[in-house]
Amino acid sequence: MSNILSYPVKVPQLYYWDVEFEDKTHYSQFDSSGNENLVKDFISEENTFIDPRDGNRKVKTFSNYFSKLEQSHGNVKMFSLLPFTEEQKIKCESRQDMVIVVDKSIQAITKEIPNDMFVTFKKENTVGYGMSAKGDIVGEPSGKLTKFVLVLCNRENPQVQTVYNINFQVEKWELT
Amino acid sequence: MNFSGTFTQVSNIRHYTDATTWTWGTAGGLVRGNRDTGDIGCPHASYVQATGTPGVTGNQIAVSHSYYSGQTTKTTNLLLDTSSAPATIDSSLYTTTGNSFDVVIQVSVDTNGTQGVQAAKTNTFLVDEV
Repeated sequence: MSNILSYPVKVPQLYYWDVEFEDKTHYSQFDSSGNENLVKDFISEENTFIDPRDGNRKVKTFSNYFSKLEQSHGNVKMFSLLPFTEEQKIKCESRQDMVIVVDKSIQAITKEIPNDMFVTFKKENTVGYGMSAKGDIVGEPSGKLTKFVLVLCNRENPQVQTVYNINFQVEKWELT
Repeated sequence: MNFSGTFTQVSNIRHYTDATTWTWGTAGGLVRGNRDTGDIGCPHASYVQATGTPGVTGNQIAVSHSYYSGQTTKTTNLLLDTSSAPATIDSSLYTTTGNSFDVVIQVSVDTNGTQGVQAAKTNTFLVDEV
């Protein structure tokens, strides 16, 4: 029996990312209209490579995604994960792959970025599904954003990194 | 697993299961196809449907699934794939909709297995996303 699981399933989102550049300009995961700024929309060719496995252009994970924007606004000085507002939730309601959760009790997570470092990140999602003894998928698969990995890399030597794992645990985020 | 929706790139697809066991008898168990090196997932086009007689016999992955039968370690106990040590199914980088490699799982039941409906197990895929 062959079962096909679909990704993404609806993933609850409590935070969105936001960066502040040297000139105080902010750039966020969502613009004021609720449209998402995907990494592929603002990176440069320097952030990509040709994957030898299929010949297609891919994104270099943990490269400086904001390098193109930094040319206009100066270096990223602050990276934040900010809780959603009710207004943003309404604007993002059309998204099929996320459930915006507004929780006024959660706090913003903010990290200052030293001059000699750049900031980069990835998310880790899980898709859980029930499997019967016959191999069937049981019930609806459930999605969860389990981890946000924030990485500070040295600008001269990007291999020198400081990694912050921000774990989603019991409806709260914890910086570890 | 199929990909769709809004993303820049998904990668590093891993899989694990919970510790629930079924009453599959002494030599019964739950296995997944294994590769000696690289990703353990099976490209979708290489998937082979198990054959046999329903309720009586079935052909094992180790024998009848050509993507795994030539490996030194052809299958492994699925219960060894845990949240702290998930199996890497597919290390490819996906930037467009499509499907990842498959995780190939098979249950075997010994003659002393206990009959009855088994509780569903929870399996989990882990996916990195940019």
